[in-house]
Amino acid sequence: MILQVQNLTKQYRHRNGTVINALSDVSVTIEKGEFATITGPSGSGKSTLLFMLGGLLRPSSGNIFFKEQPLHNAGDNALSEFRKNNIGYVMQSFSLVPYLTAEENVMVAVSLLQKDKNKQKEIAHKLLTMVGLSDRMQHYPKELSSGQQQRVAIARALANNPSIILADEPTGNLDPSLASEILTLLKELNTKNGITIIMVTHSPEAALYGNKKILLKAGCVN
Amino acid sequence: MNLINLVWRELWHRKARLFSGLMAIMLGIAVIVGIRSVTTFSEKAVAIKLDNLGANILVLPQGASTDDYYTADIDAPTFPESYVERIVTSNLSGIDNLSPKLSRRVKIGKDNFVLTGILPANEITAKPLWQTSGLMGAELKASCAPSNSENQPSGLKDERLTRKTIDSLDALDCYVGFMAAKKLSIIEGGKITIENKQFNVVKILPETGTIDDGRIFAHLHTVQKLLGIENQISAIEIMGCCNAISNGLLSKMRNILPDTRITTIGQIVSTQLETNKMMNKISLIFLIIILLVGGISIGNYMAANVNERKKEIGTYRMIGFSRARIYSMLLLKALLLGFFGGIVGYIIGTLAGVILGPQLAGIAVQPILILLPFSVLLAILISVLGSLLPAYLAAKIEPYSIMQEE
Repeated sequence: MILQVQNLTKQYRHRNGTVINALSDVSVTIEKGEFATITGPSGSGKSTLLFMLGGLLRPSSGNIFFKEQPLHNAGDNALSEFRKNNIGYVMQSFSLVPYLTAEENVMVAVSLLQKDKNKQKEIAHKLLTMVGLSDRMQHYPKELSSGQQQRVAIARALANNPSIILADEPTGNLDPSLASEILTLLKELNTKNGITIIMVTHSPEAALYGNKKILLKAGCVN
Repeated sequence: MNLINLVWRELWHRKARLFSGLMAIMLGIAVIVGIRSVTTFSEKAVAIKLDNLGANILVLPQGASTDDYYTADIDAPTFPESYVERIVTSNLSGIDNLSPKLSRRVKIGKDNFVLTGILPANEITAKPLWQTSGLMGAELKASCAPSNSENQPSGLKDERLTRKTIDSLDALDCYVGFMAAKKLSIIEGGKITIENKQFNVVKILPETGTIDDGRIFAHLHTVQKLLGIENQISAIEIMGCCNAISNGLLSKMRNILPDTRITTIGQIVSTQLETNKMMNKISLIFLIIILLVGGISIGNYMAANVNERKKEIGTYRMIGFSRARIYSMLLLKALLLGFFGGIVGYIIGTLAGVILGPQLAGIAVQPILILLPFSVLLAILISVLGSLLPAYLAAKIEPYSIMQEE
């Protein structure tokens, strides 16, 4: 088991004082090498769960364990280290840095673990080639198509050789054919490289790529 | 990729905003450097003018009249010659030359003249106007005036650098002022009898237009013996550095010689020094204003920049940047802004001083290199201080909240 979630709850306090339960008593286990999909209607807490699994958000109560190490009570620096060493993110809006080329976007993530600039370049080239962008390395995000930008984001997510890739609606901004390409790429990373993938999606078609389904409704696992 | 690469790329990406962010610092530094350059060269000009003027401080006995600076020593009460030693051993800085003297009216023939006893080397030093008359000797080295190399580019002629002193004046030698020589109808090499003692006229002094034209100068110790007032003097003329005078040299001297009256060429010194003081105060006021305005301005720019880059900062946090790394990244940016703002500000300020100095202040201004590191350090200080809060707030950005906003 790579990730274990026990009785996870996340509450937000609205300005008017109302307490909103984004997640209520969620317990989930993710095994190493799984391709898990989190589905559910809007506002069901999918992204909240994903971000808590990735150490971007702390739970109000409950436990999260990564390889049996607790994440729920880790400090900010420990969570930054955890993300840097173990997690790759792929977001719906790609989240690329606009003033860096495709190569540099990947190099930024590599630089957190590898200080040698030549090695950073070497790794970025390898990853961009792997996602089919060997001829777009010096392009800026605005010079790339949506599909290509998402591929850069996937290459960046692989920069730290992660145990887990967390993908939040990775095909939400892509047309169906590009969406299929990206999903295939993620599936390949899962099957060939053994990377655990946890993907939030609205799309039933995308959810078919996973081998474990987590359905959330009103903050509860259904 | 390292932090400097990232900061550099971001700065370059937003060139227009970079320029506006730099403006406040650049102009602020330029104003300070401009004023400072003009003030520095103005001070030097004042220093040279005052030094060219010769002695500018007069020590008189307590009861002496100071209505006229130039005649105050004549027939004044006396005080011990050892006071000279007291000043010399006090280690007061800013005193370049001490010229003790004893002046009394004497009758030669039908006319009255002023006989002044001097120590020749010291006296010649204090009298720049005499120094064109061939009174030659050792060169004077002054303590605080600008050096020759500093003066020449400023277009200021430092007469003192050409001054010479004579080393000795024999006991029975004398110099005679221009008008006195005319009245006595004597020439160089002639003889003159004062109080039954015969003196050799070794020099007729050039016309100075001052009271000195009517004086006869002999060795101090000879005059003391002649007048029966040994070891007493009626005045000490001092060449003081103008900066030292403005920094309270007179009051320090009053502490050493409490039973004397110490005066200076008030109008000349005070007017010029007050101008310099005012310029220094203006520099200080500008410095404070610029620290505030520059700091607020750069803080405002950084806050806007952070707001604009929230998503990007969220992305950096998402991939593993720590808060400290985000904080460092923004402070590094502030440092670079300060560094370049300081350099460009120095160049603009120096150019303004060099171009406008001669027109507005009537003095030639040269670049002052020492202001460059000062400008850079000040600009960095303003920039970093102004950026502390925005950088702190940026480091506190929660990546999740940014991702949720999308």
